[in-house]
Amino acid sequence: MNLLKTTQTALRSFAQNPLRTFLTLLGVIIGVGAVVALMSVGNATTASVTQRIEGLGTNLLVVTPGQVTQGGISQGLGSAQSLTMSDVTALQQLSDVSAVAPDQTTRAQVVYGDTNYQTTLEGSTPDLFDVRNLELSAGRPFNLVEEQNAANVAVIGTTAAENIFGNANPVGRTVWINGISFQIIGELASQGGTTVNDDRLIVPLSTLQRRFTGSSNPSTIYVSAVSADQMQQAQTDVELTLRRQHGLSFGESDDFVITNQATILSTLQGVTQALQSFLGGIAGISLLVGGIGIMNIMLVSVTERTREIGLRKALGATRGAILRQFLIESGLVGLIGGVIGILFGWVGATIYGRVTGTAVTLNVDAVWIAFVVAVVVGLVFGIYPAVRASRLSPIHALRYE
Amino acid sequence: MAILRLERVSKWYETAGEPFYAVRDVSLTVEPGEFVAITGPSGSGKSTMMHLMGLLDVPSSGEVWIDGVQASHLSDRELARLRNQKVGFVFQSFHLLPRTAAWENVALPLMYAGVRAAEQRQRAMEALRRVGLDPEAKGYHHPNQLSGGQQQRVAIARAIVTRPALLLADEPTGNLDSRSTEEILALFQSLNDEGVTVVIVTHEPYVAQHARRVIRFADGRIVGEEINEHPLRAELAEVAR
Repeated sequence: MNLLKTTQTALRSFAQNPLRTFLTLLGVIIGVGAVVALMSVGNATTASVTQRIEGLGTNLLVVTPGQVTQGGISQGLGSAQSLTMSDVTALQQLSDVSAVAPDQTTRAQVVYGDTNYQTTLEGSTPDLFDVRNLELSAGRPFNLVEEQNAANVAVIGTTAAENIFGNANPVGRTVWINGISFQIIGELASQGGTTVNDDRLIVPLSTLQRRFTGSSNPSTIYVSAVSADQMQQAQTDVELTLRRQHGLSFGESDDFVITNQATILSTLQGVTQALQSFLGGIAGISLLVGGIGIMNIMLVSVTERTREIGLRKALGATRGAILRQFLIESGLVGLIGGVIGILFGWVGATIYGRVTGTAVTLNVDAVWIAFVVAVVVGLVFGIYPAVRASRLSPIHALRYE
Repeated sequence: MAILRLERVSKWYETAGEPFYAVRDVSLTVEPGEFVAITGPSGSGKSTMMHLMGLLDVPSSGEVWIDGVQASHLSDRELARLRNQKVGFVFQSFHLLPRTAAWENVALPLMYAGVRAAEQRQRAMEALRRVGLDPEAKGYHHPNQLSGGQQQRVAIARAIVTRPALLLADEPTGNLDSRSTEEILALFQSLNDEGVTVVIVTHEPYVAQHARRVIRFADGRIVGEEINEHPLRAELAEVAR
């Protein structure tokens, strides 16, 4: 009783009832397809989230003011004006900090010709471009001299540039911001992700403070640690330095908040991974249902082929041979369904990638796991029908009409 | 040595606490080269006899020897092996696998015997030729493309392909017209002439007349046995060889 012959027999029995075979396969196809597609999409999502957060900057720590309580009423995070330029200077002295960029934002009206555009005006030091990994697609960032002299120069984000200049090159043009003329010296490369990051103009911090906000307190301080390993240490140092700067005594809580990029990253990765295993679980359940479908059909098949089983036994088939025949049949359903399911899952994931613009790659682990599980499901759910078939008595089976 | 020996064999079923005897205390010996017909009305137990002789069923009591092997206490696996090697079955309704070429049907017992694929095909073709079917013309036909007589000949080819000691036929002509009946009986007789032991279970007296030895069954017992000195010869030129 060789494997090839048995496989041939199984395939022939599939061909005898194509619709039923297709419906049986469908359960497995959907299950495997769902596992492969969801795992691949999940991987892609995790990768894209990771990439976006890493795109915020290199080894980034974000310091924002804490809450203030005014007359017993909490004012919410960031309401305090607790960060100062001397904090920035103090942080710059730390050995595990490579760059510090104070940052302040406001809303402003940008006028160019007859275009009137409301956008975010962000003021910072030239270090911002390093700390936040800001790439320029044209022109140059402002430099230290321009920062010190509060020069009227600006770097523009792609969304803002499109809305103000259309497709024209913004570099070198002059715009009016709240009635003050500014020269555009550079354009940021698109940040991707949310367009909020692209809809802004960045000017020297001193210019922003002097001409727009009048406040010398940065609303955010971006700090870049020397290396990824030193981020925890840097965070501790930043905290200690700021506490000393702000004269906080032991037991008093911080009047600022430090957000660690690595922490955000691992939190978000945790969330996407949880989501992914949740989706994988649902897909797994559909695979289980597919397995029950296999069992159902195999039981029908055993009943239908009772006479054939009786004949085979009369001709010398042992219980083992009959058992093998039906197991190979149900295993084949799992195998074929698995292969088709992987193809469908791959196509599904690719379509998802095209539609959402995410780079989706086939999750090879998911493919292997889904495939093996499909075959195992086929075999496991085939056991009961196969055992039933093998236990049929040849005379009853031969007489069965 | 006898091909088949049944020693006080009984088969009963429990129905509502009351044992129902399908076969009661039967002893029977079949010698090599015999042509035996077992006859009797339906319900006389002759089909159960055939199942017991063919090791498809195990007796409730008594012993069965086939080709010198005591079979009453063998495992399922050993019984399957004995059936495969010692017995060839021919059934009333042919029992050919549908949508399967004639030669593959014939090769089925060889597959379970573990014969190599190439040899399976060659031996199946040989067996088809022996039963008067042209392997090239009919070997690749599916059963539904063959006439009843041809289908039964394929079934006989399948029964003899393992060169068994005993050929057991259960109403082999029951589904055939008179012309095909002649063909099949002639085939059995010519196989018997070559030394194959044949046992036919039938309720048709005409079929039984072709056997040298006729055993009559009623109510699960042997009620009579006669030797037919001049059995009818079914002769058909096209089948003869």
